[in-house]
Amino acid sequence: MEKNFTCVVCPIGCSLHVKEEKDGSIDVTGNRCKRGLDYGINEWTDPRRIVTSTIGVVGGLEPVTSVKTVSPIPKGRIMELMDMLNKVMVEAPCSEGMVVLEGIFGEDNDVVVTRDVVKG
Amino acid sequence: MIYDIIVVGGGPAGLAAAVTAYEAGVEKILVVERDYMLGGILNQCIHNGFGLHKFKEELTGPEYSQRYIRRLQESSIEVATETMVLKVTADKEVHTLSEKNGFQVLKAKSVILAMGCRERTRGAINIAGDRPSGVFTAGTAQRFINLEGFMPGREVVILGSGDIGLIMARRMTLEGAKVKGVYELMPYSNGLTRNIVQCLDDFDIPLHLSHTILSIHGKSRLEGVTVAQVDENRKPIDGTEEYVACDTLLLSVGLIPENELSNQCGIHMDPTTKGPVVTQTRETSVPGIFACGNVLHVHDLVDYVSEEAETAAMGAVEYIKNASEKGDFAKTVGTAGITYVVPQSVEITKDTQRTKMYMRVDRVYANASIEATVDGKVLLSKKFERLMPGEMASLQVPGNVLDQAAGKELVFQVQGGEK
Amino acid sequence: MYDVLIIGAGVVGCAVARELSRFDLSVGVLEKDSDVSNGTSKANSGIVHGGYDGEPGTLKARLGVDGNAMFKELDKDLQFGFNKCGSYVLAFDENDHEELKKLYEKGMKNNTRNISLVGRDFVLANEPNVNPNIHSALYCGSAGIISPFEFTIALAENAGDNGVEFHLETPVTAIKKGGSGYLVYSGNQVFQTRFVVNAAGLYSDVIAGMAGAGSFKITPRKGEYLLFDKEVGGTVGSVLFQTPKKDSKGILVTPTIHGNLMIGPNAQHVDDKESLLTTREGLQEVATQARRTVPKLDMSKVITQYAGLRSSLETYDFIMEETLTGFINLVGIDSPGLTSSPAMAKEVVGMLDDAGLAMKEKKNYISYRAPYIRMDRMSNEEINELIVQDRRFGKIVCRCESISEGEIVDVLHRSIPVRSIDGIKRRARVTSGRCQGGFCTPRVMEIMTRELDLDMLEITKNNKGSNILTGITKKGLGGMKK
Repeated sequence: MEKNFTCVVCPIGCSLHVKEEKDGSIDVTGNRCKRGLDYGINEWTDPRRIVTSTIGVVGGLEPVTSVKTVSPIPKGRIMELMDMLNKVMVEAPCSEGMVVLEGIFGEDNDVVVTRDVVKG
Repeated sequence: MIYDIIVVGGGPAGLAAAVTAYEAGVEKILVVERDYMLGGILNQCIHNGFGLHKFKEELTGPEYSQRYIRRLQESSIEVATETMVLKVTADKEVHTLSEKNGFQVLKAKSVILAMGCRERTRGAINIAGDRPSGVFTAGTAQRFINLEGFMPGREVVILGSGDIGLIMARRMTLEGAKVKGVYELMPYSNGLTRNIVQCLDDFDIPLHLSHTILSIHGKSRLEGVTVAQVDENRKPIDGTEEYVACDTLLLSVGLIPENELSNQCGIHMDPTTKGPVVTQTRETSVPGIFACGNVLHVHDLVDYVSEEAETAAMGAVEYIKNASEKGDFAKTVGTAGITYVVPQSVEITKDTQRTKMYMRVDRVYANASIEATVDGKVLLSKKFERLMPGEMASLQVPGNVLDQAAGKELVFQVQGGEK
Repeated sequence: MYDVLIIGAGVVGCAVARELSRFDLSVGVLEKDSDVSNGTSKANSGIVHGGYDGEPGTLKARLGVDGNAMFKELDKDLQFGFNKCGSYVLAFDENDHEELKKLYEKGMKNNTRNISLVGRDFVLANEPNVNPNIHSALYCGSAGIISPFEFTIALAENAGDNGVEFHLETPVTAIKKGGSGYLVYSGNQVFQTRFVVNAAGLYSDVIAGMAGAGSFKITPRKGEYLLFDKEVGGTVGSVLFQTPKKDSKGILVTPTIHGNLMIGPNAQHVDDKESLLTTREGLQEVATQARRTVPKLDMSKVITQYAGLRSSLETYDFIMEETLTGFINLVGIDSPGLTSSPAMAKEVVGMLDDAGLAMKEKKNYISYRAPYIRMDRMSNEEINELIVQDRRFGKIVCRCESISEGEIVDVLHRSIPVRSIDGIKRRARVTSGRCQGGFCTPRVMEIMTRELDLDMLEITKNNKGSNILTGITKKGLGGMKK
């Protein structure tokens, strides 16, 4: 099993080739540095992303506010999170850092508000 | 009442400039902002990736601006929101209009211009075809979705692979739209690699390099676009035309500094950056008027905008203290691969400080150097593993090099490098 | 029951409507689109021609010259803005010059005011950016510029103020004889009228056909235009034509009444009466030709491009006749239709009078139509006074042109209802600046929801179906900053 990735650790953007051997060891080529190696292994084994989006606000000056996951979530579960966010609403006022979803996907990860909304 | 400093614009540049000047001891500062809230375009840039240089952490746009807004709220800086600056005069009068105060003429010892930039439109790039609804600049679509909660479309084509276009490809996908492809005129993307990976690759959105949109179709709402490949001269290649059905076209085809006020004020402009010509303190050709951020030249990272705003603010602080010393100027010039250099000139005094020069290159280079020369003599050289038009390059030029350029041209050029 | 029903709310229909509104009559206008001035009248050169080029003895020649003479007075009444900036027809060589002499002769026959043949130096002294290689020119001091849609809207609003009923989004689907005149159908709706004036522009042949009032064939002729930023608006001070060739008056370079620079149109016969498609080749052609007039045109200053359709017939002249009893055809109104429209409207009134419509002048006729409030033409004191009366004049919505919320609200509450972004654009100029609506469209939409009681999702760019937004994301129950 093998796959190509573009490394995003720095602007050079190395083309990484990641290959998983039969014995389970992972072989990364095309990287120019150690960080590229780690990136390649992570993208292969457990790719994760910070997700940012919006949620509805009740009684605010604006109808929505923005949110983010505090830490990266598994890449394959992004759309699942979007469905969850569609069902969340907060009441104004709300401020940066306010937790709107706690421990998502059974992990120690929250979704928090990133923009203050005052009462409208 | 005369303000020490009036800052025109309450986006990232204006906020950083105001806060920096205040923290340097200036008391009477006014920030004039046309929107109802501070933060400018960062309010709608809800994605993360801001602040890696400045704060060594990844913030979203609203979080980044909030850091400055908090500092501002703790200060005695005055803020006038929903106030439009109609004119800035060379003797530093600022004409404003607002619901609250009507038309006013405010006076300042120094003015910092931080109006930002606007997006290039369909008209500016001359796409032929019908004129249906559904054609948006990427930033307008971003505002609708992120601040107002509306969807501008369902089936999307994006022209231009600048960062806003890439970010919007992901954003619209997350909100349930189908992004059919991103089309880029150039053979390379102007966006950050990280955005290509995380905004396009992650969602299997194809990026078509060396492509353009020939025509827009649809009499009421957009129905589709005709795309085509272009040759090395960016001319469409016959026979490569393809019709792509879509109800939305997002344009991410470049940003233009918003310099109506600067032009009206008689400030000298740089035809390449489309921003004012400035010295190392970011002082324009009108003494006491400074410029920073995207109104000066379009930046790719907000961190650099903040950094530049700090420089401009310190310039303004020195100016109102009357401490600035007059010296000879070294004019900075970009040739052979360098499209522009900011600042455009450096004032050389007896203790000229090391100065960071920002520049852009004309194409992608690997393993090239940027050299600084005076009278054809190479005085400085810095190696870059990769140079690309989409990413601003910078070079720290030591005082002793600058001294040698006094009254002359300090020329920057790309040396060597594979294509 | 109407005395007169006008089909088409372009410049001709609106001019006739306004002229008829002086009299004690019941007058209606049916328009298929969501706004007046939405067809040929919205996208043309906006020139009030001098009238030297009409073939002597034709309607085009007579109405052109007579119409031209009416604009000063019309502008006083209707406040749409008219700049009698003059025009030049440029000759590039001896052959062109011979053509100019013929044009001059025609002009003299047509009684065109203030025309003369002038030399190269005269032109360059007045228009320093003109190609120095020109040979000579025909100058016409009575030519000028207007905004064609603002003129049309002003006519319509004034007609509306005087009781004319406008029915927008009401396309005519059938016309029958009946009652004491005609029954005009729009789907299930029926309008009874004694007289019909067919001013349907591109569709005037179709409308005539529906009534059995003559068989015409309108071929749309498309012209493409490029509009430049105000920054280069001063490049030329008058209308610059080139010596005419067979199919058109040539590509012109002109200032616009709003201070932009405009070039165009080319001329291309098309089949589709709705096709406002611009083409790369066409725009290229316009740019190349215009550079012949002004070599230093900076194409990077173009802010938008568009096309307009002119209604041309195979025959030369306008058709203005009572083809059937009580059914007046105004067909084939291409250039100089805009210039001719006021004179044509007066003649239509005469025709209706002759046809037996009793014309009794109204006592309470209002000839004046207040201009749109334009803060860019006011002093600081005037602006402050305005803001004291209504704070919304202090709130700038359009950054590029500094247009306030007050100015937008003003255009929304006139006698002709405005329901689209383009409708507001044509009146208040918002979204027409260099950002082309990037910043202000969301703000304008908010104002529309409030003032017109529309939902954001209902707002259209222009006609039905051109909605701006397609849905909501996770909108909560918050408001938006008003």
